[in-house]
Amino acid sequence: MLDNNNEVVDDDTHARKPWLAGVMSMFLPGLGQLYNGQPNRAIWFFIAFGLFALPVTVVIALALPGVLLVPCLLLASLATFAVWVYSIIDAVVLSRRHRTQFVLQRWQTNGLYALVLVIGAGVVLPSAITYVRDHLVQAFRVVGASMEPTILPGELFFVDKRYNCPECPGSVQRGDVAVFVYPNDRTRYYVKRVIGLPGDRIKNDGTGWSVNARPLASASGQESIDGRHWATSGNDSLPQPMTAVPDGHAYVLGDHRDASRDSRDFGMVPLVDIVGVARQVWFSRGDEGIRWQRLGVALNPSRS
Amino acid sequence: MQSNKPSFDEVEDWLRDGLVRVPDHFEQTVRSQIGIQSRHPLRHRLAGVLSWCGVCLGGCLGISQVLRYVFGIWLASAAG
Repeated sequence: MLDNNNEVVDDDTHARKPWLAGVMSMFLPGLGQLYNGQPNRAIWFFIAFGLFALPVTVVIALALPGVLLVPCLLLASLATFAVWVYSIIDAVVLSRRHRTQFVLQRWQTNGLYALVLVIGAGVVLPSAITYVRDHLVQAFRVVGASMEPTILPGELFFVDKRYNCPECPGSVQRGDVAVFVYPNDRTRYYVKRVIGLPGDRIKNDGTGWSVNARPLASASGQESIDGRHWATSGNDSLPQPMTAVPDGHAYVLGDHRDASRDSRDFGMVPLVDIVGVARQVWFSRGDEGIRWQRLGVALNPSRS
Repeated sequence: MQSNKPSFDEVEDWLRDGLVRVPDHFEQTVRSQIGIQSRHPLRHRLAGVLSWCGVCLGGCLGISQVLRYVFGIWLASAAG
């Protein structure tokens, strides 16, 4: 039954239950506010949680220098978590004002709550986090020693996914530590260093690698190309014949030349399969425990 | 018989304007006593059970998605 104000006055006093409002906001920020009859507040909570706190902070983080990526992502997770907790507290506090009596609006039905929950938690949030992981930033864990000493076994690092696409700010460059789809098993990812780009001639004459007849090895014992420097490990004296990198491909090598399976084994990597460039180590743990000095190490510092 | 003449009795006016005024939620409160619960107890109980099932399922979905959203960025894929 409707009264003159189009408000439902039927069946019950519709007193709000604070615990239910809190639980609803726990399931989806803003849902408890909807239950309390505050649609505007509900929308703002959902926007703050789902569309602002994490995605916007991630975009900001990627625009900052590489060493600030992990602190910003930590801040993003904390901010998102804080919005979630605040929405729960807000729903409980506000519903206490309607503990004895509440005039139900006609749109406040269980069906609407369920629909909002399914769309919000089942569609919007998964889509948002999938977008962040597919297009902005994704975490990877190294399972081998092939990139020692740049990346140690068991390290977790973030990869910038705004890389190697027409509208992306970053293109593939020689010296990048890049993540790509393993050509022989497209369910797996590999992380290696890009040595050669289309048109380059790669060769190892037994004393070291050269790109377009310029040796990678420098006087400091490191390798360098195009102003990028990195350390390598392992025996690098196995000769490799001259190889020309075809169009649309890249030549990749692991920094640990004895422990790496790379372009010497599986050939060139199609550029379209390169999904991101490594940015920063966020966790490192080995047999000796947590390697504290490795936390926050930038992996492509000259790109930042 | 009642007279249609306007009353000038102060007591009657007081009763009509004061004591006889129905509270805002009078109808709502009365209806709560004779609501659907008393008319269709089985349907009401079934609706309650289904509602709780919905709440539990929705809760599992919601809490898992919220946690996956908040901490999903730290979940790592393997790279060789």
